[in-house]
Amino acid sequence: MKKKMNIPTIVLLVLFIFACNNLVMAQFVLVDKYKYLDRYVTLWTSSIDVINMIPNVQSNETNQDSEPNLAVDPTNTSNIVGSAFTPNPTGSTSTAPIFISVDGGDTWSLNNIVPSGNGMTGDISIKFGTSGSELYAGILLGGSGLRMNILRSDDPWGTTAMELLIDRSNVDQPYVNAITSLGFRWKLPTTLKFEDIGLIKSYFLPIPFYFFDRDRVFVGNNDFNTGTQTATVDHSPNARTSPPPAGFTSSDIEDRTTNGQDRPSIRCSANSDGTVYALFARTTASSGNNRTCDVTVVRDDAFATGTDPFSDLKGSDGTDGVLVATGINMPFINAAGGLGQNRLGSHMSICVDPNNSDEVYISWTDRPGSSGTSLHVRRSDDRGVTWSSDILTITNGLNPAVAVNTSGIVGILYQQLDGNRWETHFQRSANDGATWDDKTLADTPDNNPPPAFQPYLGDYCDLMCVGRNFYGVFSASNIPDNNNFPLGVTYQRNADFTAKQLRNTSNTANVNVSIDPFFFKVEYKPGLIPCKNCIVKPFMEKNHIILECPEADFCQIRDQIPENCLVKFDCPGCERTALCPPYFHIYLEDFDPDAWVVELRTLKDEPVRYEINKTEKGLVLSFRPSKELYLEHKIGDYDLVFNATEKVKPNTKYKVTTRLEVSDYRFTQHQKYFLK
Amino acid sequence: MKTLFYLTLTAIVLCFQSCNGSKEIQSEVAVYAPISDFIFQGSVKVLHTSTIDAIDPEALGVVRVTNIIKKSNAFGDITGKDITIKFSDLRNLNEGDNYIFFSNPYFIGEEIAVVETGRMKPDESKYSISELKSEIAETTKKFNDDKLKERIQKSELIVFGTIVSVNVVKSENKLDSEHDPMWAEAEVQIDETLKGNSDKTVLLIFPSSEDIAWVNTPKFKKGDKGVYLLRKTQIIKRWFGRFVLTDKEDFITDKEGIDKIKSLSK
Repeated sequence: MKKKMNIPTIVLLVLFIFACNNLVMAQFVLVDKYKYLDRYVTLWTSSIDVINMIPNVQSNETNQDSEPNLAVDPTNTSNIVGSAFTPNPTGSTSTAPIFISVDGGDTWSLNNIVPSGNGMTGDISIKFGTSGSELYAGILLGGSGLRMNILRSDDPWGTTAMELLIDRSNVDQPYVNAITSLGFRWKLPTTLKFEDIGLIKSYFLPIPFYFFDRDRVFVGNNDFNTGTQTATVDHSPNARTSPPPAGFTSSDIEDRTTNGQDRPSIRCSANSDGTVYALFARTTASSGNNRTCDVTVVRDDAFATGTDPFSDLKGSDGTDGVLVATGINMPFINAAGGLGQNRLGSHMSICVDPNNSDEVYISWTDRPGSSGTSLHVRRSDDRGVTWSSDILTITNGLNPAVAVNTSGIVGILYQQLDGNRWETHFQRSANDGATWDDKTLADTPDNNPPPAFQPYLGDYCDLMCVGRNFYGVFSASNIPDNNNFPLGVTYQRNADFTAKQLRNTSNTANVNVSIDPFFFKVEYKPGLIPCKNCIVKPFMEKNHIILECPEADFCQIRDQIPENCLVKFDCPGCERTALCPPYFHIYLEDFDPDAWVVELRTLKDEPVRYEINKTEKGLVLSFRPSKELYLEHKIGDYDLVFNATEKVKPNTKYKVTTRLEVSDYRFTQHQKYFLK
Repeated sequence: MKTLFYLTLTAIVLCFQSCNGSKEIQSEVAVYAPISDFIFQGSVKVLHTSTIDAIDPEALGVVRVTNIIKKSNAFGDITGKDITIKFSDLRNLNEGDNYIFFSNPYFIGEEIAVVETGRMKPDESKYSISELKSEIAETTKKFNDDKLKERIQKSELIVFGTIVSVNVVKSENKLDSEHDPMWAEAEVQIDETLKGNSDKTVLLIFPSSEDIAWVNTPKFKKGDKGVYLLRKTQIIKRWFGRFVLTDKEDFITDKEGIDKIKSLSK
């Protein structure tokens, strides 16, 4: 006789469902491919690459590409988007460009998809959610003054202009932060896509609900429509697919009286457990250029979904927000001469530790004396209730950007005026700010070129983390002088580093110096793996690959793709296709995708853009090699990587049938036009 | 006499043919050229794919650029390069087809991708590439002239003169924003009134801010001489009824531009 569920069980189940409705499962938010190695790796090494973002075809350009911002796709760090005050190079006024990279920032292109009225934007900030590859932007619409647009795009590489979600005037400096959390829906959708089930499909329960990703988006802004308490956060609990306004509401986060307004910078940082911090500076007095301010931090513990957002952290006066520093001067000098050729306003940054929401770092710039600035970094480990004194202080520092990686290492990017030169620094600390590792990324002149407009370098730079890696952008003079870049630099645009001259697109004439955006990344790689045979090579025979793990624990099998062309299958070159390099489709059959996590990496273990499609017998990994890594008749310098899961038994042979197809098409079109 | 007759007849027939061919390209060029930054001749290599990493390449294709008709502002000579094109219409389009493509670049880097605005079949029996280039140049010139005429028509006052003084106006905005326009007032000593009525001088308002939000607006200083196209603002509340100049195309300093406005203003 079939046992019925008793009432207490039903009640528990219903309560469980209600509790889970906004449950965030932090372990599924960040995909860390080296999670496997956490138990084994004892040494991580890092390398720093600095790259000028101007494409080679734009070698003629002399724009002041200042105030950069950055978005790295956490689901595939080969996909990166940047922004700066860069005009549409075609002269069109209806859109402005973003910078895009599909190779982890090594090379860049422009894509004109930001709505505009004059071919540029005013302020712009960008971020991906931490899953799902949706890009969000907060801009001041070009040609429209203080008109904030919040935008999104599910394909920053396509032709479609970003979709407008919010349009509101009399608002300044929108600044985006986004995080993806796991949510539940009651009913199955009519079309259930694979990605809706995602990483946790093995936990699908036999009741009609399913897991889906929610993009929580927070846009700090200075809203002049709210009276004198201008610090505001526009936030959405689920911005990815809903039609505009995509769930956005606006919350005034200043609870105290001000002397007219809060300062322009309103910054947010969210943790996957629901904690969201916001940082701003409240004006308490104003005299000439001087602005007396209190640095304020507020907090929300539930993704700002409650009835009174950002009210979970109280100051000693019982009001929302802790005053971290009071009575400081943040001068407002809206012209060259604020600090060097750059203006002075407010320059602030905040970042919560992704693994521990109790820990949060902030940074700001103020003027303690009658000239210059002081940049401060402080830390809280009790959810913003109490704060350290300065763990780092930089004289004449500007444009701080803080970030914390999944190892708890805090990084700060900033620019420092030293005499008549701007030094761009990246510092890291692995011990909560007790000691720092300081790298100079750039050392460039302050007055060459002269400013075309303000801000000269920017009102901000940007720094973010995905996993252990840091990614950042800054703007600086683009004089091609190796002395200006102590760690080295790569230029795509034509440049003669011997003559220290920029060159035009046809390399027939010099080009004037200007301000360019520079991207940099700090990548951590495992240096020492103290487990025997953790990473092995497969056995190969014609049309087969044989996977065998010697260890019970971690196992990664790396199959060097060029070797496949000698043993497993024939590898055509470009002779059969119009595109060169063509698309390669590697079929893996008699293969359990649940036992092995397959990915494609370069031989240097860098991320690669590829797609995986499931088939009846296994899966197909499809990609198009870059021109740099392509090898005729050997596909390219890539590794096919098989990461074993708990389903894999050690010392057991898994024979996978493999075959290769080559065409001009991505996989969907390959099936439609090539195979028919 | 007979010879003269046949020569004349031949001339008429030839003229008719070239005039008809000219009419065909005129209509297509008139539609597409003014809205296209990059015009080129190309052959379709592959459909439903791309040279860039497009998520959905169904409406895309790869075209080899064989001849540049109108160069883009965004990049140099890409003759011989395979580029991606988002077609406006895939019907009746086949690999190997040769077209004149009108387009606008959107993806600009090591690879180039453009959005097609229109296309036409090259036909050397009806027009040459150099004739097409001339037609495009003429059309573009006419389009720009029409825009200028519209601008002139919308202007209430057009003067030729010199700035004699500039004063920053006190801001009524008590809030700090780096994007404050920092309005300033310029006095123009008028040498010649080209449209409308005016005294010997006229005052105009302009944003003197050096902020990015106002980067493309003219920044007047004493001594600036040229033609000023003036309209009373209906948008900027503070300056309702005043002449406000925020568009750099409303201030012309080059001789050719000044002469053109003078002739169009009559």
